[in-house]
Amino acid sequence: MLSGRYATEGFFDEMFMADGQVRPHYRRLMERFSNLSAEEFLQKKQAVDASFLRLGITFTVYGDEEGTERIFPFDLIPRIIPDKEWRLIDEGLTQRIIALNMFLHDIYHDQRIIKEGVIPAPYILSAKHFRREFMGFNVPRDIYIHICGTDLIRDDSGRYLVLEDNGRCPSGVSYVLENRVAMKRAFPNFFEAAGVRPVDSYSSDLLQTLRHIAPGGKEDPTVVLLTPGVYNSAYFEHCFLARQMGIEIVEGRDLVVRDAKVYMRTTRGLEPVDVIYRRLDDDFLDPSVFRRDSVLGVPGLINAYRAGQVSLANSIGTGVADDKVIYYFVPKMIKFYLGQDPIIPNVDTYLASEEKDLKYILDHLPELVVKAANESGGYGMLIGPKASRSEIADFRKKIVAEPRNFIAQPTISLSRHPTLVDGVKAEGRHIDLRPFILHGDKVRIMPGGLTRVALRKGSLVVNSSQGGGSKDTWVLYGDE
Amino acid sequence: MRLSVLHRTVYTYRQPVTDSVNEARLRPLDHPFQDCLTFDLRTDPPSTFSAYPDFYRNTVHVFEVATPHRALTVESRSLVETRPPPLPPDNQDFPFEQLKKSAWDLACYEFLQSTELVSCGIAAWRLAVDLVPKPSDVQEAAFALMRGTYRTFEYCPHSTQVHTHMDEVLRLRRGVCQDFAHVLIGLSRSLGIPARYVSGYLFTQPGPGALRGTEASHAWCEVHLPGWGWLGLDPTNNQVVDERYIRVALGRDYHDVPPTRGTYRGPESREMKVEVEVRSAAPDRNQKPMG
Repeated sequence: MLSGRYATEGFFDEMFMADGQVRPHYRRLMERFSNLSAEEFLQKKQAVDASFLRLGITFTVYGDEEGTERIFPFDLIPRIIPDKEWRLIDEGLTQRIIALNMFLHDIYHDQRIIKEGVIPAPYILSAKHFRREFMGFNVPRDIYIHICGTDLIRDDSGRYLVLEDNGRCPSGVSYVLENRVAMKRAFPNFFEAAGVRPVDSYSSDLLQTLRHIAPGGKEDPTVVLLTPGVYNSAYFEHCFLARQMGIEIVEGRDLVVRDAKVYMRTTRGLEPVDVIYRRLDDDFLDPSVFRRDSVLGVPGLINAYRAGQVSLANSIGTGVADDKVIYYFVPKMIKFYLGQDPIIPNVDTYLASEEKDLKYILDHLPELVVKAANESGGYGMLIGPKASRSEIADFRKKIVAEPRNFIAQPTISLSRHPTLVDGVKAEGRHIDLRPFILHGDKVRIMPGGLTRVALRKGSLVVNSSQGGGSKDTWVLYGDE
Repeated sequence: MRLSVLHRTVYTYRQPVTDSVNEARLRPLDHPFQDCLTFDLRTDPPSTFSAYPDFYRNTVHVFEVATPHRALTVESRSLVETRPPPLPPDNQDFPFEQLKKSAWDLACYEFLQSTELVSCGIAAWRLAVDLVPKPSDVQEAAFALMRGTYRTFEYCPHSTQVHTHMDEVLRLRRGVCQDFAHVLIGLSRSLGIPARYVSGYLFTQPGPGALRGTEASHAWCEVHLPGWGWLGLDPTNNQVVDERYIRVALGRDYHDVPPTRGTYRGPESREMKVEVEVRSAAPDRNQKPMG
């Protein structure tokens, strides 16, 4: 399967060097896989697929006419990260989450970073998710982003780069946990021999993170997971995490506020709630404060939060940090708050709202990737080299009309990874990595994260909504 | 000037409603030209209040009424001491070129943008340049826009609703004080003059020559003169804001500062009755403040 015919085609390949040699940290995997016959391999693949279907590991595609739920395709060849690379990622992400939290505290308090001229005020004030309502508010334990999913990519030299931060409700972690279970079932004896770091403490780490922010340091707080409901694309994950943590999963209508305290309706009557892991965007949390038409939220919840009677993870207003224009400033934040250089750099970014950058963007559209500042999931994006003339013309108009809402980046030739196509043949496909960062009593980063793979040949879009799949991600104890 | 304000809002519902959660922006602001001496807020059915300052430092009171009710009364009484706000010196010029700096100023930036109810787009700009063909001085331009708004638009109670967008008002050519304020804000912003919305009350003696906008809460706007500060202009009455005006809350447009807003569980239809009374409350001469 991974025979000599595999071609790296000039891309940075995770498993093979340019001369076709296997990288040291993939050698054991190569040996194990070489011992498998094509038939055995196919069997394992089918067994894994069947188990995903049985478990109902699905996601929802918005704006799709055919049935909304789909299986997230899983690729049997794992992505492997050696210890020395992981250390760098771990340090880099820790540095980043600390800076992001300091930034959020700052813009909702003294706004030093604006006053000292590092970020122009208009960018903050025009950020779609900047929550004026929470100016001057002290969030529990001064932590804004408790759960962060930061997307990393590698360029054609193998250098890790940060592509974006997801500081609102990042999803995908359930796939990481389920992928591992499936792989362990398929290759029961292999993990220990290969020296793969486990990921299964994530749920207990998450629970610990959530309990850490309980109001008044309450000893045995009641934690619940608030979901928008079954139509949300990540509903499977909400159920999965609630079950893993042994906490209740609730919808807005299950919660009620009385005298600025939050209660959950149960068959035994109302039970107080201390911490809410909310998988619902700010806009929908409380119709009396944010969107009036939200039927998903809980009237009065914000007042209870303000009164310090309930804690929310993530805090309100973290979406500013997800804004792709603000992303541009993260390296400057790291410098400003920590006096350090970023350990993992950003992708070079042009802001359409800066006159000079705008000219460059408009002159180079066919080479660039253009992104809407506040969209995610691969929506609202132009990949210049793959776009038609009319698509480019269309984007040009949009950018000129609303420059604040667009950024552009050079098209990065993402690293590739051997991936199964048509059953048993391996071909290179582009991948990224979303590690999950927990920020509670300390920063904990689950070893690995979600490796997403663009299954279509040549495609650079890894999002599940756009034809992406996933791989198990192995972080090794050592470097081989 | 010492003024007392009674502001009563009564909501009545066809059927009993529950779980009413509300925010009120009713407490007059404290600032250099105005002190809120006393403030009393109550509701019927009764509730307890918590308060927080919002982004623009307005005081927001939050209250819940969870039990079933057919009517909700929100009543505030305040006693306010106002002083004449200062005016820019007669000989000071505010050249338009200085506005460029305001665009990047933390205090001004968002009062230059289109917001939910105010647009500073092409329609506003056309009217603005009709009224001020050759803008050179910011203060002069702002006054011209105020006069123009006052003359062009018909003051017509009940002709619009609280959520009427400024563009709609530009078409209708009539509205209430909120609409006049929105129009002047939009016109100012379209020329690059930062402008913000102020809600509050206006004291006027009854009888002939009584001012408009006193039967309920009033609204006007403030424009920013570069290097000097915010100047209050009332386009509904075509005058500069003086000590008869009580400022309660300020924001980008009405949506930032509604006196009351909230949600409840129950049928959508309800009736709202608002009553506002602003009276002169001459200070008690026997109890002069010390010092």
